[in-house]
Amino acid sequence: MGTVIDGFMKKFASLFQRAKAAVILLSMAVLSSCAAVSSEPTIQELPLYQNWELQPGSEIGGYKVTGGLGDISIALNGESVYAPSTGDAYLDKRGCVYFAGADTPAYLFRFCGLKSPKLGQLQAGQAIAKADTLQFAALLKQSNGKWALVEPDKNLLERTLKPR
Amino acid sequence: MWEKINQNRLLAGVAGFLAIALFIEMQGLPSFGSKDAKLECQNESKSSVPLSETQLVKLINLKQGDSKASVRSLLKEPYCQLPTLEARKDAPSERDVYLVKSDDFLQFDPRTRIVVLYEGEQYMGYRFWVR
Repeated sequence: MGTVIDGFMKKFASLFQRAKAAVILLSMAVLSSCAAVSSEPTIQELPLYQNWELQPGSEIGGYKVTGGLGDISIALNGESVYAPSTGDAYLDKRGCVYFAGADTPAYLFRFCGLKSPKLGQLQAGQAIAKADTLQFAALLKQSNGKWALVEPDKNLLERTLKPR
Repeated sequence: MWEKINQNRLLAGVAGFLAIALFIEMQGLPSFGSKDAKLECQNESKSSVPLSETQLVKLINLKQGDSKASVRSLLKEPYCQLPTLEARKDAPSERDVYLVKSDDFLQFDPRTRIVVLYEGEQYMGYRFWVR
């Protein structure tokens, strides 16, 4: 009788080991996918056509600047912004997100004030992030390689604020 | 006997747990449950020729503000066009879509497209569309 229980315990132990190995493998998979997310697509600071020293993300008097020239501030109150088309989202070192729509060459759309944004390849209508106050700016590349702040079209801006 | 059943049950439990965990994990992937991204192609042309490497080099060296006529004579007939869009106020754009002839794109990413944008008579820029 004792040996039967003993044998069972051994079996159970080895099974437990196998289950543990499976759990370890799984958590490794989870961790590696997190690692893939954390290698975020970033963008270098863009040379602006109208360059003001204080921009969103700058610091003044110990405070963070949240908006600047060319930004349209929108009270989102925790709602989401969405990719206006298929494209890629990049993070700059000031913490603003630049969206490059695959079907809008020459343009970049800048979103500041987003909370933990989704970066990389995005589908049209996919949520990028939530924000309390969104700072939106449209940038157009100039022939000298600099980016000019331009007045965004209202329909395009509306598409970034409404889910599909 | 009961020992065998328990062992199988435990294995089934572990397998079930793993399946659920994998499902939850997969939902976080960007491609899960989402439709394949597509460009809204209009006026598709059968006679359009994909861009050669020589044309690509010339395209990359174009300057914003070059004339639409000169760029179109370089790139020839587009594969298709995208609907008119205003990215900025009062500046409707025309967008031509081209395929790429280069082997690197054909073999590894045959769905690569290049979108070229014009505003009025001016060339504004291009962007690769790789999926």
